[in-house]
Amino acid sequence: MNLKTKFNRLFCLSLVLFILMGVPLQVTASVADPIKYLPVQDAGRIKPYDTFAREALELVYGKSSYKGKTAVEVVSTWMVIPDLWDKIEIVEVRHSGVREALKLEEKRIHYSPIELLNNIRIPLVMQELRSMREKGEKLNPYFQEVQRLENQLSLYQAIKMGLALRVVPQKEKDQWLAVSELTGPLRENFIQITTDFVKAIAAQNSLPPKSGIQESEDKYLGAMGSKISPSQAQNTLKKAVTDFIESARAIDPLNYGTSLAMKLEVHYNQFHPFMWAWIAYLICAILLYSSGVNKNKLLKKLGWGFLWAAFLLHIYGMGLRVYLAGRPPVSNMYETVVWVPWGCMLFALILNRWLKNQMVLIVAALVAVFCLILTDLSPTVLDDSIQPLEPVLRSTFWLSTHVLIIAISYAAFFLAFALGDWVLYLFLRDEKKYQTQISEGVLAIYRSIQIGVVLLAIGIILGGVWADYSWGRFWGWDPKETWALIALLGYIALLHARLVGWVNKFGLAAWSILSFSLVIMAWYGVNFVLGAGLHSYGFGAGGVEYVTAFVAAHLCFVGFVFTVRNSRLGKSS
Amino acid sequence: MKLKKVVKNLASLRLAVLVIVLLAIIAAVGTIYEAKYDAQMAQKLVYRSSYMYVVMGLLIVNLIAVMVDRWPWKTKHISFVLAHIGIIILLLGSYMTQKLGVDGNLALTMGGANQYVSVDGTELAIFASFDGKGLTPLYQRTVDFLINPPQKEKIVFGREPDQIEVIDYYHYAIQQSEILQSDKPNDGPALRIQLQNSRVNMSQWLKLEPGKDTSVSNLGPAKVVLTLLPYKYEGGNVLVLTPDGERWKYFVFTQSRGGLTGKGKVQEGDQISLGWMELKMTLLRSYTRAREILTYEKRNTPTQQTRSAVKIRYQGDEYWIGLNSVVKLFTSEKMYYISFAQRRIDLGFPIKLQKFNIGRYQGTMRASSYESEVLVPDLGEQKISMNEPLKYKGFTFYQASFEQDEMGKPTMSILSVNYDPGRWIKYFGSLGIVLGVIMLFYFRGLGRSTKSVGIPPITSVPKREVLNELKN
Repeated sequence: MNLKTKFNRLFCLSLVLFILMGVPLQVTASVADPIKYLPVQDAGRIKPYDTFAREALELVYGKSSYKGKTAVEVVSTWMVIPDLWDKIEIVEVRHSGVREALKLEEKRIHYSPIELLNNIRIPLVMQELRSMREKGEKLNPYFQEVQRLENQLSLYQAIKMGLALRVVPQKEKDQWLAVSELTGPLRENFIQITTDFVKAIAAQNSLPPKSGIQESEDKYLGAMGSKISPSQAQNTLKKAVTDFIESARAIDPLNYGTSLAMKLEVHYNQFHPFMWAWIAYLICAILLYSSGVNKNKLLKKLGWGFLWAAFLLHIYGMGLRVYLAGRPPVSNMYETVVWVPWGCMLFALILNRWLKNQMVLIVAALVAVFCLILTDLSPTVLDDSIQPLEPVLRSTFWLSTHVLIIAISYAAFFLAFALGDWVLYLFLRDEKKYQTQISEGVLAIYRSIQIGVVLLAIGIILGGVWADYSWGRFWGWDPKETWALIALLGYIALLHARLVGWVNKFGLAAWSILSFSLVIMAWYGVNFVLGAGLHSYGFGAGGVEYVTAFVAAHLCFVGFVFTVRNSRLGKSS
Repeated sequence: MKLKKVVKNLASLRLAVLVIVLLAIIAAVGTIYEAKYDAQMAQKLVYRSSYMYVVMGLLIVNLIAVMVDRWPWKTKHISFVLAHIGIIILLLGSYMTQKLGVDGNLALTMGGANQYVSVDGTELAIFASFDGKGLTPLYQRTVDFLINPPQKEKIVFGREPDQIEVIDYYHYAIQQSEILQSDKPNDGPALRIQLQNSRVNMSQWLKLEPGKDTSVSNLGPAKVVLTLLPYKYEGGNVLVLTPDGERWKYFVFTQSRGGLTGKGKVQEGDQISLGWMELKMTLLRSYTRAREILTYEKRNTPTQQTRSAVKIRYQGDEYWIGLNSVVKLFTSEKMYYISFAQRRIDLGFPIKLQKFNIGRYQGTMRASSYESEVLVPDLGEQKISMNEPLKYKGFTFYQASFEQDEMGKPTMSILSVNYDPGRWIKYFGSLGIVLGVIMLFYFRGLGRSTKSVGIPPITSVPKREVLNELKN
């Protein structure tokens, strides 16, 4: 026993260490960093160049850095040495149907802009897309990908030609001037930035080790390579950027992005609070679990420390985002996937208070880890860019109340779902031995479902009030609201069935997993699978196969435990 | 005694679970209908179907019976009664809204006034004119061909040989026009051309409307002018076609050379080179006089271009009428005027759109807000914007959407017009549900949970059901 405890402790500590060491080190530093803070007008708001470059690279390449180079460096060199980038495989074409239609080499996912622009089938495919649009037909996944390709190529071309990067406000119009439209001293200023940027890149490239792309860069930059040190080059670049920002700000000081906002957003991009939050949640889960196994007070205290650290990091991240976007954190899929695990943790803290059941905290922490990793893994499905809101969503009071409440009710159901997984696992291990844990777990599931039902009922009714207030329609059977109602009905049926005695402890755990499929449908399915209705501002595409697999896996799990348990009960009686 | 037993059965929790699950299933089916077809189809075939009403009725019976069954109520029943009565009141309020309320759209063109709200449902109307001036209404009724197709329920007006009969209906159809040779002297000429190069291959009908002398079409790579008059060149790449008996005179103008670069005559089947963008023009078909016939092609699912259409028969000829359009039937002594249109309600007062303001996100065409400045009798100038409706004479006007041209200039503002006698009843019911649900789970749950481990028995459970639970 003692040995086992020791082993457990060792195992857990090494696991924590392993996680800390394996923290994905992001590409962050670059000599080109000073340009990051340059305010850019793009997609209806003012953002730092850092965000612009990340979003552009994510759209074109699918990731926010390219082979160890930051987005800012990559996107800037598109403008400086387009001839090089035209030949680099940087445009992502993920849909195999699109690759087939373009008769592209099947094995690759990335193609060079030249390859695609010279492809004779491109005009044909784009023509098809246009006629689909003219007919007003719904775009299937294939055409959605064609549309993405169109956006990728046109954005790449626009950036290359200096048309997309809008950096100077105008007095009379609210559209800023693109770099190719600049005149006079500002044009001189911007050319200065470009020259200094090239020098900085050359200086950076003069240091070993060199990657393949750097060598080609050198070839193209040619004589620009200079003898100054990278830090010197960076300082010169910084001065050029500061000069440029000063002159640009003088044109329209009120609406030009403040340096605080730019700094905060760059900080938000780089620090990435949600990543640190999930790491802390994971460590917290491991520590709390082993403290339960070992009855170790120190581990427990450490675990709580990590829990609060994670929770606060989570709040910090959401707070930054709310400040930057100027709206509540629930206006797209990405934001809800960040918001829901926070709600899970909140309910876990409350339930732990009531029920003194530490397992709830561990399960909630794991839910948070799962969700927050998800937001990092799938930037194309869960778009993390801050987009302007549809006019109807701009009444923030109603938006915040009804969406926040509905989303947080999903958090309660998510918690019940994850606890259901845990309890079924206990059933599978040994029903008799873990009797108390099972009872405690089931009680926590029951409470979570109750919290969820109360909040979802209130959220749906508030949604009706909002709809009545903005459209004069309390209930319109819109798919999003209907599926929220279906989920509510599912859980209410479950609670009533429990009263009849149709559902025992095992049943409650199993149904908490099965009913969560309804929540997944309401939360994700309506926007990504059905794609109909008035909530069209939340539509997206992708990930259907993964979500289906997730749901199917859980259905199988429930079925498996059910069969195993039944055969055991059959033997014992 | 017997009555009590009936109430007991109706009040059973098993029935409740069944009804809840049925409701959920029906609602889910409805959303699939909406995704595949549209909201209207889902409403008609699912949410307002007879089986939905049956299930809703069962729900209300079950809710009432369970409350009767628990009579006399005790303090502990407050939450349960509140939630259940709340649901009943909410459903009654919704029923009132549906039966007595108005929910429609008011479309206002720029500077225009309108007092007709289009609402759900379609109307078929027949008028006649005997002197070519006034229209006499002969027939008017609300029709729902989706539920009662004309094949099932015959609609016949008048008597043979002067009989108008509705014979077919497509709910989703795409309008198609067909150009046919005509022998009527006032019909204009028409031709079908094909434009081709390595990238483009398109063919297009061009037609002169009766009484017109010129028609200009921008076909992407070329501007094609069909005219009876001499053409005055004003720049661009232009192909001019003028009828000349059975053949056509053509003139090619080229932008880069600033004028006429080719001319000649073509007839059906001829091909000519235009000289720009390596375009070749082929004359596929040519009519000296032509008329356009509208037909409808049936679709199973809607797109933005589909609309519904009915087919009528009159004196052996068949005619299609698309939604919100008319057909005129001429005989020697009279004219019939048949319309198939969205049902409308007269507000009794006009609303005039003075101005429409669109706020945009900086540097983009994306609207951030929009509002209509309207003129209302008695009230004068009023503003209606998103989330800021206008109330007048029992109606509430909401800013729903707008339409704009390619340049982003607004062309039409669409208001949602609503009269809802059930509103406060629904709100009252909602309040009951919210209070009831909170009390049911929250307060009771809090008090109990810290004392006992395991699921606490719920006090409102009748004893026999607890026994059932033990048995299982």
